[in-house]
Amino acid sequence: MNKELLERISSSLQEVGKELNKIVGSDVLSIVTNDDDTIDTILVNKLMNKVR
Amino acid sequence: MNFIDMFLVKLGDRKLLAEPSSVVGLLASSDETTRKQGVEQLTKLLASLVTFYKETIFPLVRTNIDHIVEDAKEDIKEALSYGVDVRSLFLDGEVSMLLRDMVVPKQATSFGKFNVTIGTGAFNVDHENPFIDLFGALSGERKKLAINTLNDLIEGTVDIDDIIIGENGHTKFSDLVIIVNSMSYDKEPEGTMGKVDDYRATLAILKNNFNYYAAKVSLAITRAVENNDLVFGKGEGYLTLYAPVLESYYDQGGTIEGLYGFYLSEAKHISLQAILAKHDLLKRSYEDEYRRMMISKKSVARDVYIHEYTKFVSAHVRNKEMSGNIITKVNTHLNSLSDIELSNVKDRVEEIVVDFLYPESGARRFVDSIDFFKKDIDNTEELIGLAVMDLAVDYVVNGIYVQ
Repeated sequence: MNKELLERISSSLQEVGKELNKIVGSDVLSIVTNDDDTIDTILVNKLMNKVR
Repeated sequence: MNFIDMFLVKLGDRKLLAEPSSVVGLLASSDETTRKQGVEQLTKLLASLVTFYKETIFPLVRTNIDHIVEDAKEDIKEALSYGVDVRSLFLDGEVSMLLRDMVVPKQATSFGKFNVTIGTGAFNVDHENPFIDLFGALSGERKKLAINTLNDLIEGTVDIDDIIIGENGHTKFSDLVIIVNSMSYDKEPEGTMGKVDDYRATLAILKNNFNYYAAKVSLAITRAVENNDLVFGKGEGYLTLYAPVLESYYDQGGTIEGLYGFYLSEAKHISLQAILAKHDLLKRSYEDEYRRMMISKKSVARDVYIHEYTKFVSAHVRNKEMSGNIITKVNTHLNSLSDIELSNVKDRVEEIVVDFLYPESGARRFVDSIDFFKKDIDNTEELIGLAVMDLAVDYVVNGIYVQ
């Protein structure tokens, strides 16, 4: 398995979250969480949990 | 251990798919422009999912919570009248909130944290246990067995001890726990979010007969207590009941949520572009899609509908004479419909029931308790939002790896 490849995927996923933050912003954040997490953080954390 | 290391360890020797044409392939590309394309596509998918949930699913949840509130309050009162020790009984999910917030808040909360939970649960907890996996299988004889088991329980023909789960982590709980569907998020370790099946099952339950089956289970428990088949508050009993609403959903095409579930289940097998196209189609004309799917299902049968809506009426109308009158009216109505009309009959039947029960309220369904339940509705939306995120992660993970 290519570690570099996975790093790129992880990085891309964070970018996805950041883009989603921009698009839907606080509207979605209010749905997703009451905490201060941003979507990119949530996505990566969930991905980590998924494979944990 | 950092994220990537964890990724490597946990995924072991699974093969990397990451085909160049897949969204994961785009995300993993060494070419920055290509990666941006992947980011854009996945972002678009996520945004569309969130929009769909906000515009379609949330209103349905709100409506259904109205039902749950009113029915569950009555059920709990009835259970209490039989002397059931509510402190040792809570229904996971929405009904548990009723116990927590409305009936016995201090006692109920002593059992710990429980919330409205979306998309997680026993489906993916213990697949070695035949009962817990019954609805996880969601097909064929195993599904039938599960449905029959629950029906037998409701009819009082099964010794409840026979189906107490004995070989999973939940037995560590010292009090009886009833899960009417797959909602057990608060008791699951982080990272055990369910598969797509969980979501569509849960959503189907939210839309359909959750309150009906909650009521039936409540009465089954009451009956069991009366017959000394079940003792509350002792031992490590953990009883899991799955709502056989899945029967109608999977056999007949189900609801708009069911349709959405099919759509999601196909996500692994078609391209991202096709998913988005399908999603747009769904948003534009989901009713037409729904009818088409319903008509195409061979198992759609008039008597099945009549049976389902007879149960619906029975669950909502406690006065037997009134219930009988409504059932007669509903059956007459159903028998007058063509097959096509029958495929979209649910709303019509509900209208009949509502008109009969609340003639002054017009189209309004039952008592408006939204404000009363506002806090928990918010919580539901939050969790659905989380479910959206989980679906996205599911997609990414399933898109990357195979066993």
